[in-house]
Amino acid sequence: MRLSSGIWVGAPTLVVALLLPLVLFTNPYNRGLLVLIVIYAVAGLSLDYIMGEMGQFSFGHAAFWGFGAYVSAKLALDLGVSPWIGFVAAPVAAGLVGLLIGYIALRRTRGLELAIVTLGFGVLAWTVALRWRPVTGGPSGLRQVPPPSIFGWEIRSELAYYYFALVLLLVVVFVLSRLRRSRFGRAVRSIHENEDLARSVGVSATKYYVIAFAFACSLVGFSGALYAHHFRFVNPNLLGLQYMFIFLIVVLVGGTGSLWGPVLGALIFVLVSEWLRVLQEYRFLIFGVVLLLVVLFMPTGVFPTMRRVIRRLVERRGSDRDANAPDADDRADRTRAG
Amino acid sequence: MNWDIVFQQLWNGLLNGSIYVIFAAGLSLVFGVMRVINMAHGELTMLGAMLLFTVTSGLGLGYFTGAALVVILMALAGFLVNRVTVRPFLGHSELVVILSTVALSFMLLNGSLVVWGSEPKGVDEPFNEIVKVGGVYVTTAGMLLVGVCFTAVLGLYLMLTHTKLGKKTRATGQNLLGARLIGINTTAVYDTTLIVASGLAALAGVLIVLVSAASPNLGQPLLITGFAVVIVAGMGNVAGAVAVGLFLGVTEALFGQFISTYYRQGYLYVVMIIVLLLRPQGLFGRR
Amino acid sequence: MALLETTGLTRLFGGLRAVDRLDLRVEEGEIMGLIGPNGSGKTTALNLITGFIKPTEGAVTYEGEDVTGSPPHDLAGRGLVRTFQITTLFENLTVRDNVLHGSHLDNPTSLIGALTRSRRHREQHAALDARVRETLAFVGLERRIDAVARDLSAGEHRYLEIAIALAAKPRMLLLDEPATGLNPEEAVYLMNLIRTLRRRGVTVLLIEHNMRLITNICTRVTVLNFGAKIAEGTPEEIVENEAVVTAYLGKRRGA
Repeated sequence: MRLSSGIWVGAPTLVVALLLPLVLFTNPYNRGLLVLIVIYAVAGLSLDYIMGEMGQFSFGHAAFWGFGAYVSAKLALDLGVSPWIGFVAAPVAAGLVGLLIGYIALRRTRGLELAIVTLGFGVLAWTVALRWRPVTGGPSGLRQVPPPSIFGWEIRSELAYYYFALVLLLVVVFVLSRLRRSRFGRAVRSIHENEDLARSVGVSATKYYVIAFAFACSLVGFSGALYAHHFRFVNPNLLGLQYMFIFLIVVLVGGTGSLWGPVLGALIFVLVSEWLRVLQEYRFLIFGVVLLLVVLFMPTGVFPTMRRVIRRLVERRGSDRDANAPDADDRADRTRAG
Repeated sequence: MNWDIVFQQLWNGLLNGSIYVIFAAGLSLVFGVMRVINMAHGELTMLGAMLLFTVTSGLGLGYFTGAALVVILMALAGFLVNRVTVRPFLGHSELVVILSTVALSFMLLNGSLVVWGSEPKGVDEPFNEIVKVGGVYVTTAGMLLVGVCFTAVLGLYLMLTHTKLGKKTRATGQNLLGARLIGINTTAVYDTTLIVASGLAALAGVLIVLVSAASPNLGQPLLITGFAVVIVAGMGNVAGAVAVGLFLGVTEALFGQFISTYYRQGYLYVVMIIVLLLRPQGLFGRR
Repeated sequence: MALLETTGLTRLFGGLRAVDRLDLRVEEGEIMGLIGPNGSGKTTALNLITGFIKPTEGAVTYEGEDVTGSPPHDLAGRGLVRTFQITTLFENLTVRDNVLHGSHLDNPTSLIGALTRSRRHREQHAALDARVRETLAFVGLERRIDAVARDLSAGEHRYLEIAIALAAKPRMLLLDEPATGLNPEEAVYLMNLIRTLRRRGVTVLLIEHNMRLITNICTRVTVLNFGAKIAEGTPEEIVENEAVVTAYLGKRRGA
């Protein structure tokens, strides 16, 4: 999976992604699902930055998502600020709060302790959203959040918003893929691999982790703003455990440590929970069973499992051209988050 | 200041605090021994309460028989919880185990909604006389709750400190590999840990119905509260969780009485945040 | 002026004096050996010097400045770089990536450059990659450049560990038992590596059990026992020193 094969898989995928709303997902409801997939994919990618690249976990990630959504919605509703500015302000605000929380938490905690500490911050944020009525609108949240517009034309239709969000997803994927091989990306990776060794060669572990954490928060805040201006409401649930679980499912079911994983995870999550709708009240019960089975049989996630299977098939055909080539992606599967 | 009100709130806080204590003790035990964040702990408590409703109203059992039956059943179910949703995932990332317990909580919550619906259900208490002690109104059911709670916590403490099994459990929590090397059957320890934790969760469930209704939706708020307690205490520190649970229950009631009813729920989180700012590893946490 | 100096360096673990009022001077260009029986506080001393743990008392001076309690990454930034007793690598990465990740301080590329892959970035990265190859060639691992670190042999592990440390451009290198697990030929190879490093101007503090290595390459040797310095001198003096011989061979006081 060097760059060339990335293009070989990426280009057709992009074509399919562009055609989907014209072929299979033709009514507004189904196109809305596509938008949701893209939004979850961005959120999943940002969470996987913490899980796959940093090897840590934040249970407060949904709180930053909801926070981004509130920031952008609030700016548009109260100050009449254009959603475009909201799309910038939300990640900036989420990133700044992320710096603060990251600084508090990452100085002294890692791993499961960090997960719990961020859970604490997340729950607090949720309580504030629920209780601070004058600002947050309390339990019912804020409604009538305006959609963004281009040259006076509002992006209201699911189709337009989908293409718009897809472009932003591509930008996110591009940035993330380049970031990995930057000095910053390598520093973060080296702390993940071995914190003591990283420190001994001059990497300021806490500094880089705090910045990386804030970066992920900023990205998820952006995803939150995308959500707010499409579904046109925000409420305290956006900050709560429900969405936290969704993002966790998106990342772990898709597979950590690769850019394809969370995107695939978002697709699977949205489609499966949609298909299970016919089961009515049994829907989430069965969803739990499906989830358990997926985790049981594909503990590293769907994408890495798929890739391994395909590779094995290719190898069995006797194509041994790349048999000895080292493969960075494959190793990423084996490294664990947490 | 009206001291009767203070004492009344102390009592009310003691009731809540007892539930926090027994709930957080189980949550903390699982983390301390197995390094597993059990996201289904709240639903186990919920299931305890709902099952008690069914065996008392459906089968016509009395409160005590029903409660004993439910706690024993749920403790045994703890074995299944370990074997189905924890153990198969332990070789992988710690987050995979979180996800599998999330899946379990989905199943338990939504299964319960299917079986019992979302309406709260009342369970008949064995006795519910109101006794006036000084100027404070105290219910006999509440006294039972507090009594059982502290007996259970004392039992857990004695088990961990004075039995061979308890020592093995603590050794496993401190050093899994070391415990294996000296011949401790860590699988059995893990089974036991979830049996005890699940039993404690169910006990919290059958005690909750003494002071409020049983409802499939009681699990998640309780889980969040439980985490707040555990965060303040420091993850995995069972004794700390007991002290903090009691303290938070009591001070929360006083806060609600004298400062703000509306923000009463926020009190726990404010305490938690102050602790997080000053000591992210918790009051009794290591490091 | 000594390049590195500790004065009265002390660390208590509970009641145990792991390092006890240690005065150590390493001059520029030296290969200083630090030896002592197991548990004599050598690694603790190294951890104290490099900022991985904080001293209870005493001071560390490096390049004439007080650096007591400075975090490891700051010290690395000043050229004080260490290796670990148990071989420590980025095990899941390739040999090349190990050294690239070790080159944090020597990596001139900017974030914007990495995002845009500007020509300047590509040039900088190519130059960095060339330096990585050079470092690997220096330790003799250039042919293993694409291997995954954990698949290397014990000897190669040690060489890679040194390559990672060298990527941080050390002025002074602190090696913690680098010869452990090496066969005699590999140990000789390592010895020559360290000698070459010295010729290139790197000062070395070497913790070692292998007395042959110590006597062959060290300019001076300090001996620790129970956390305290019991002798110091040239290798020849140390071998003759009665206190050292007692500490190592005779009258064990339960060490």
